Parts: sequence; C-alpha cells; structure tokens
Amino acid sequence: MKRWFLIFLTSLAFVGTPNLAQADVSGLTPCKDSAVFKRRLDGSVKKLSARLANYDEGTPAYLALEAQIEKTQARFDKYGKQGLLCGADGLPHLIADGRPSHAGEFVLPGIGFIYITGWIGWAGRSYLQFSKKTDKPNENEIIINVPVAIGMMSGSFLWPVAAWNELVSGELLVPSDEVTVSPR
Amino acid sequence: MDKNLLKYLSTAPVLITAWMSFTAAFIIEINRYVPDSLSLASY
Repeated sequence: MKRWFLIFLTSLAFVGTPNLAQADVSGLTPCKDSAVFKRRLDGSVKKLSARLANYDEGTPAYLALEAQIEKTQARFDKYGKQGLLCGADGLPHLIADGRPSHAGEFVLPGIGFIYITGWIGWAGRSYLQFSKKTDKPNENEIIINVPVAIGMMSGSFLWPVAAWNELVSGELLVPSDEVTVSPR
Repeated sequence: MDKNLLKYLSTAPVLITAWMSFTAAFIIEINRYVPDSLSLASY
C-alpha cells in the first residue's frame, strides 16, 4: 500500500511540472510577436493621423505627415522582419554576445566601425610619415599636400593587409627604449 | 588657379570644414535612402 502511494506521488511529479513560457535570449520576445511593440506602433500612427485632420489633403504638411506615417510603419515592419527581440517595454533590445543569429546587431557594425576607423588612422599615419620626410614637416601638417593626402586616403582601404605586413616585417613597432617619455 | 589660393584652400581649417561637410552630407543621404537602420540584419 505504502509502495503504491509512493509510486503515485512520484508519477505526479512528472505529470504536474509547470510549462516554462517560451522566451528567446534573456527572456525577450521577438518584436513581431510583442503586443507592447504593436501598441507603440498603433500609438505613433494614431498621433500622426490625428494631426492629419488639421490640414487639407494634398498640402505639403499633409503629404509630409503621410510620409511620416509610412516611414513609421516601414520602421516597425523592418524591425519585426529583422528578428529583433523586444523587452517588456515593447522596445528592441540588441543582443551583443556574438551569437551568429544576432550578428547584424553588434558584431557586423563593430567590424564595420573598426574597419572605417582603421582606414582613417592608417591614412593619417601614412601622411605623417610622408610629411616627416619632406623638408618642411611642420608646414606640411598645417597646409596639407592634398594630392598626396588623397593618394594616402584611397590607398588605405587595404589597411588590414598593410598593417599585418608591417607587423610581420617589424616596421610597425619600435622597442620601448625608443619611445620618448616626459622627464621623470 | 592662383597658386596662393590653392595653398589657402589646402590649409587645415578649410580642409576640415570641407571634409566634415562632405561626411555629414554622406551620412544624411545614407539615412534618406536607408532610414532607421538599427541592425544590419537582412530579411
């Protein structure tokens, strides 16, 4: 009798487990399924549509408001289709942990940012190195030799390759004792 | 063009004004054609 009671209680533990709510990363829900996100869209469109009543159809202000409404709907639609995740606030939250499913939110913009800043930096460094070899280096830093500078800027799009080659050949870095420091 | 005029136009303040204007216009136009880009994900 006691054994049957124990078997019955154990089986209840498996039958009676509560179902976890289906949530994505960090408890967020896809924006296209988020009710609060939809509410934000409806609220924005409603406010803009209410202002439409102040103007006659076809006037520039009316057309601008219509364009604004279309832009708002396109934005919410785009965020839904891109797979962004929304919080309880109904706003998209970017996932920055590097997972490939959300690469477009942080990883790809990050790579783009590093590439652009590297391009700028490499172009500046190349021009400075050129300027130091001229007979008026200080003047060439305040009155830029534009043709040379444009050449450096165009050529720096391959900066990762150039930087790697310089690192490997030893031209990128100097030993610590050649780096000047303030008087100690 | 006058050599001195070209030299003046190559000074740092003039070039930075021109270059920043170009960069701003570039970013503004990108946002005109691809507005509200929060993520680089495709769909």
